[in-house]
Amino acid sequence: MIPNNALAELKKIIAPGSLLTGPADLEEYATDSTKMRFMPDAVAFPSTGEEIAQIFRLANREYFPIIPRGGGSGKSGGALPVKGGLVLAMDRFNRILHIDTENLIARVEPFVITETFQNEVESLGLFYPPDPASADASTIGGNVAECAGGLRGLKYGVTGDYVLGLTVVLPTGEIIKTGVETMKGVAGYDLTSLIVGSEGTLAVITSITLKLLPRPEAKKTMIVFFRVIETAARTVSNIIRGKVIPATLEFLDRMSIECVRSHIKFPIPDETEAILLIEVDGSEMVVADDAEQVRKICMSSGATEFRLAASKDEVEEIWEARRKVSDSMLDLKPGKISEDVVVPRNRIPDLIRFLEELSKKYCLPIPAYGHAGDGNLHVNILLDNTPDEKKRGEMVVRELLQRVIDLGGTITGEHGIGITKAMYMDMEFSPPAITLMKQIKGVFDPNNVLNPGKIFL
Amino acid sequence: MDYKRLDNHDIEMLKGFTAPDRFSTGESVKTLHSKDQSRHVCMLPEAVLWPLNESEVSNILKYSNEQRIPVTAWGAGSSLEGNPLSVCGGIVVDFTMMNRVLDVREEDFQADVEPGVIYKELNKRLRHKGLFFAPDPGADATIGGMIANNSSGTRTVKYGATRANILKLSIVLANGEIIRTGTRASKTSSGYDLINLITGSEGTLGVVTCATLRLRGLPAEFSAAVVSFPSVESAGKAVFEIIRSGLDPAALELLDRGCISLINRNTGMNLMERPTLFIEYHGPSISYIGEVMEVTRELCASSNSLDFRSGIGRDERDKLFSSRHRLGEMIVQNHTDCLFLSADTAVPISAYPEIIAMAREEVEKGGVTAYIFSHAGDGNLHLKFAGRKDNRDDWRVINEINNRVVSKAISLGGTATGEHGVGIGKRAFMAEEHGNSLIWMKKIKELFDPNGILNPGKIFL
Ligand SMILES: Cc1cc2nc3c(=O)[nH]c(=O)nc-3n(C[C@H](O)[C@H](O)[C@H](O)COP(=O)(O)OP(=O)(O)OC[C@H]3O[C@@H](n4cnc5c(N)ncnc54)[C@H](O)[C@@H]3O)c2cc1C
Ligand SMILES: Cc1cc2nc3c(=O)[nH]c(=O)nc-3n(C[C@H](O)[C@H](O)[C@H](O)COP(=O)(O)OP(=O)(O)OC[C@H]3O[C@@H](n4cnc5c(N)ncnc54)[C@H](O)[C@@H]3O)c2cc1C
Repeated sequence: MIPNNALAELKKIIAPGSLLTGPADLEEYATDSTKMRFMPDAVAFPSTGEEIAQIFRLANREYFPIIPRGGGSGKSGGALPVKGGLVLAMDRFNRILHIDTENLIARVEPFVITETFQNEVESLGLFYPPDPASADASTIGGNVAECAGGLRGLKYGVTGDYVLGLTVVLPTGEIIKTGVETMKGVAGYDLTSLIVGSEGTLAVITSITLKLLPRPEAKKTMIVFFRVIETAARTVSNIIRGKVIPATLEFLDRMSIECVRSHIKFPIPDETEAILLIEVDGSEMVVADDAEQVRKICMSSGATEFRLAASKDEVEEIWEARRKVSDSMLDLKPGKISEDVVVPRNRIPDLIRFLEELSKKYCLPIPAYGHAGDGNLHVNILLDNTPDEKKRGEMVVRELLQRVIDLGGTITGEHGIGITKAMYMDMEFSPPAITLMKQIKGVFDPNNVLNPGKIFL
Repeated sequence: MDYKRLDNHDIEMLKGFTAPDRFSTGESVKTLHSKDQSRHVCMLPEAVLWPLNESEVSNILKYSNEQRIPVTAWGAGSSLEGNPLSVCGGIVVDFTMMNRVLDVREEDFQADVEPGVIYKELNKRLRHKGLFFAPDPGADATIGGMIANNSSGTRTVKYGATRANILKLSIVLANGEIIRTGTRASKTSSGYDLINLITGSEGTLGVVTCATLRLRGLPAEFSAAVVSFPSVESAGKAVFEIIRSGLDPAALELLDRGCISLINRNTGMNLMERPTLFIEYHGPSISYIGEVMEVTRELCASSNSLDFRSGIGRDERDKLFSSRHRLGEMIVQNHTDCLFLSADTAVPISAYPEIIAMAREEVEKGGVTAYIFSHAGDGNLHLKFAGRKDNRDDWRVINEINNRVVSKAISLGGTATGEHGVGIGKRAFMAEEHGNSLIWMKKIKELFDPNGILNPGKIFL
């Protein structure tokens, strides 16, 4: 709870009309895309780093939690006020400050919507590759905080690969700048990487320097159908081994296809068990060669049909359908547990086989889709929300994560630990590693006022 | 910090953690570990140990931490900023006997290696598998030293610095605790990123005992070119144009006239003795790279290039790049009576022509001997000064120029060190570059190493 005197002081710190306390107003900030619900005590809309610094000083004195929030599209509950407190809605930090077309660098405030930024740089002939499927709802700040991946991870990496520097407010109320504006630098410790992916638990980000690329000249989009799911999984490795690195290599199993079928206009062959969505980009010449190479590899690996998207509309339709998969899962069943596991790429067939076993063993549908090129699958355990099914769901999760770790993988590729994965941290990290991370948290946030209850149990 | 000098008991204990033949207090051994490739004065450790495995390392660190004995890790000692020198005495832990390649997973493009592996040896072994580890500093560096310094090389412009090629690390902390961080998966958002904190920390936060490296496929095709320019400024401008146009070179090296004449003399090659760019592209087909080369030729021409020679065969290309790799040594051998200082700034690419012009003017005005050669595609500028050993005037001028060039780079939004690390030599610039974030780096150091035993006297003044 935020004490009343602290609320009064908050009003003095931020501009009039920048503090919400009415229950109806708070509702929107009580949830994110996990659909879990935790009421905050208040929501503030700061407009400068200095205001945030003052809010932190107050929070340290009066001892209430601060929870930064971007677009609220997070899938691990990072922005949820699990212990009440003040949600710091970053909405007013929504400016693209500078796009430097000479150095291929941009500086943005954290609440710039990912897609808005992508479009802006593309209109200048440049390219910002990170492309979470939630690009229309997520913010760059949220992407940095989660180290978001996305559809172009295979060739272009994840958000962290594009962050050159940050301005942040630390929980102690200090404002620091980290990083460089050069393509390389080794002076001292890499604080930038430490804050990237820290899920809003070490600092509040107020400005971000990003690296850009020149926009690729051309791209080609392909859709490939398989009758045997493992064949699709194996084809993923075959493509990379064939020396083609597609920008995008997405996998959808039969149930994932089912739930977006109404969005797809092209025919899907009977008995299709899996689809790969592939996009290659680069110069006109390379793209044509690569697409042909991909076709050959897919067909010789056992695909039943290969289709090159014929028009811009068809391309858009394909990606639109892909982006809808996550939300459409709930059309199949009222409940789901979504996992975000990654294994070394050539272990995907093992993982897929294991999912089938789990589905049989626990009598639950377990569709999977995702960034197969990265070895990253979003595994969904669908439930009727009965206590019995929920319990079985939990058992599936434990077995799944254990197998993923045994295969050399990680329990979250891009969604973060937040609250939904916190109880599984000890499966991936040994006690000394977790202790060290907690101690780092303690250095930055001695009173644990910033986003408490996340990552660590 | 107060450190303990080794007494007989310590020596017996430390010997016990390793073996009598892997522990030495011999003068010649200590002398070998008292200097790197920089001009910094020799600093003798009190003893040198060669552990064979992680648990030996852990025992050594645990004991040293309890006894307050400084511990400095040692790879090949090829650093250029005094990074592996024992500023406060204590022991050197030399990793050259932990040099096994533990596993190569071709399908995953990964290798697990011990820190003492020399990257060039690793690449020899990987060659027939069609793979390579991309970072390539111009010395016989170890993987451990490259991780600690976050080293770069000619390939960094395309494949990133060491940091971008590390997936997983085993680390022994100052108190002897062992942690593993990272994953064999291609990405993770699980927990704090300790890998990047350790990488580039110069052995001050923990000691690396095993690394999972990300490997790359050897390119299907390559093509190289040598381009001469009337001045380093015009070459610098061409660098900017090439990077800006997104041509994605796999190497883009700038060498001034002095470097080229040294290469000619040492290798019998007959390159035009002018400021020169070595350019290389990797790509899927000859026709594609040919097209890219054509655009490069036009860009160079618009920056007044004098001569553009592409279509260089594998032999000559290997010769060019190996001479580029050996350039540092050639300079040293060419000035046997000198000590050296390498300025290693990096700037945003648009400021590259400006910093390079300034560096050249300063060197000319100062009348000192210096070579300009750089991984230019990264905006990195190396200025290697040669000053006569006991000549105070030489060193006064060199230090002044160095300070001005570094400050200029920082004011252009750049950094004091693009790849060699802070070590001893760049400590003085840390406050200027980092402002108040330096305090937080110190706090992290205190957290990881409360007794300050790991490589004391580095990074922070
Ligand atoms: C349909 C759908 C598809 C998705 N697809 C992908 C995908 O392909 N790849 C992927 O990686 N993710 C995906 N996500 C997950 C989610 O969109 C990402 O995690 C995204 O980065 C969250 O951004 P946000 O702005 O919504 O952040 P929020 O959900 O508001 O917050 C996320 C975390 O960031 C912190 N945070 C936010 N702003 C700041 C700041 N300024 N300073 C410090 N901390 C801050 C919060 O405290 C919280 O911990 C998807 C989500 C949905 C709903
Ligand atoms: C001629 C020449 C050319 C060079 N060219 C380049 C270049 O192009 N690019 C570039 O970046 N550098 C270059 N360098 C600098 C140097 O080669 C690199 O910094 C190299 O990575 C150092 O590796 P090393 O094995 O020699 O490490 P060392 O010099 O022995 O040690 C380097 C640092 O790493 C620490 N360390 C060593 N092993 C470990 C371990 N296992 N765990 C933790 N810490 C450890 C040491 O304590 C020290 O701080 C060059 C040097 C020379 C002499």
